[in-house]
Amino acid sequence: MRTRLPLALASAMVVLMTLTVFSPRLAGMYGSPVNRGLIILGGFAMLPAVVGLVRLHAARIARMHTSAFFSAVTLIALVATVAAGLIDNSASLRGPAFRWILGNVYAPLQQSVFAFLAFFIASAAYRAFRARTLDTALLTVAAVVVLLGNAVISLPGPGGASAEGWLLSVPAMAMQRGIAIGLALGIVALSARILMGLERGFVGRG
Amino acid sequence: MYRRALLTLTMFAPLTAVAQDTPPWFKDGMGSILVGVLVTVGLVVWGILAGRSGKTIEARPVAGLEAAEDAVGRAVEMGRPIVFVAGTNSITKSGTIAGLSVLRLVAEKCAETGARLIVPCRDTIVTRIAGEAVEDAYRQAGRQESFDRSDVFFASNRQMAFTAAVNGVIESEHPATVFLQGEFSAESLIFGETGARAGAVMIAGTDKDTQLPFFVTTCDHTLLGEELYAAGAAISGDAQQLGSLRGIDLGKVAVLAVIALGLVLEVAGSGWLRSVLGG
Repeated sequence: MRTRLPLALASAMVVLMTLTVFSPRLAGMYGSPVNRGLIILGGFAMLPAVVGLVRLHAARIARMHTSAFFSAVTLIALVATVAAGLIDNSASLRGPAFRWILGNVYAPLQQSVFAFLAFFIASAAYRAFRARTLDTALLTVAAVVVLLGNAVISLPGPGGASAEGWLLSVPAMAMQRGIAIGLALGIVALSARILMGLERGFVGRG
Repeated sequence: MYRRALLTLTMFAPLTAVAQDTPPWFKDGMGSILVGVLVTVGLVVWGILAGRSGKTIEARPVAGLEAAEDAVGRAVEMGRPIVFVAGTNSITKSGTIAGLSVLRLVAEKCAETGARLIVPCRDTIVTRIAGEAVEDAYRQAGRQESFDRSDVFFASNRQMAFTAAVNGVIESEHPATVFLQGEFSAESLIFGETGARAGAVMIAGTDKDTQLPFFVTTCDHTLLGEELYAAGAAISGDAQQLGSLRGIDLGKVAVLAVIALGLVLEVAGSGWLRSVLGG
């Protein structure tokens, strides 16, 4: 029962949500309520998730784990942010104190992590462009042509187009469309497996 | 009697409420897509039924999947854990569902071999499902005592906070293998590079074509696009699920046939197929 009921519900939802794609009337009737239901479910799931997070970090601090300091920072940040939201007492829980934390603590930290990408792209490119095989040699040549084309020198390509334009709009586009077609078929197969109760990964219990 | 009739009518309130402002039952221009979906579903169902009837169906080997089993064994030999990230999106995304299917099968291997599995999650519902899946895998292997519930945890629902949390896990736990299976965004390269620098075997899979180049360059094995959706079915070895893959292969043949037909007709100067497909 604990597995069959979710599987039956999932099958029904696959049919309903597929129909909403084709029918604006059904989408108007059932699309929004289903999405609202998901948001409510997510809200309920938040409580055990946060409790689990607190227990995990508290246990690390108690065990003096190597990352105990960061666990303490996480718990202090969690308590401070919740407290700021409650003290502000605004209807949206986004009063001045909460927005200060968001703008002056969270946003700079987020931008710092995002900025890692600049360095990681360089190191990933270095690893990818070492021309050891024919494949990587082709990749390196294509990358150099696109880099040069977007920076200083645009090489001529087939049909009067630039070489980098041709690379992006013909071979790269063909690859993307091939993947897109495969993905579309794969999603249909996944949905059919859910419909027939074969796909059980999302149920948790097998 | 009157009250009962009124009550019955209120049950259908959502249906009657649309009478004043009535959007159409069927969206214009979607006919060809509906036919395509029905044909593909028909092929997949045929494949599943063929598998159910006992026909032997073999899936083509996927390098990333074959490496998964070795990677679990490697983790046991090294005495180091395995980190699994089932994407960074919600359960409503097909990539997340596919990632959870792979998680279930990896959890079964870990439970059999005694490897520790760490699963940081970004979505609260996904956390719950992943926890159930991993716990059930350990229970079915008779090793429930080896499962630590706190190894499947919600880290953060904010993109870069979650990224930092996963990086922290990789840096502090020194995993032997990192699985990145599901839908990812900009964090894909950060995960890939952090795992590669930590010396972990990286097995990635995503349905986001924009992130595939990052995984291909940083990870040891990458499941490309639809291979992610096929992974759960292929690893399970279940005849019915393998049958669905056969159905998809037939669907690809059908798509290629339509492309070839369109090419011939367009070269011949006929736009018939384009008009039928709504192009």
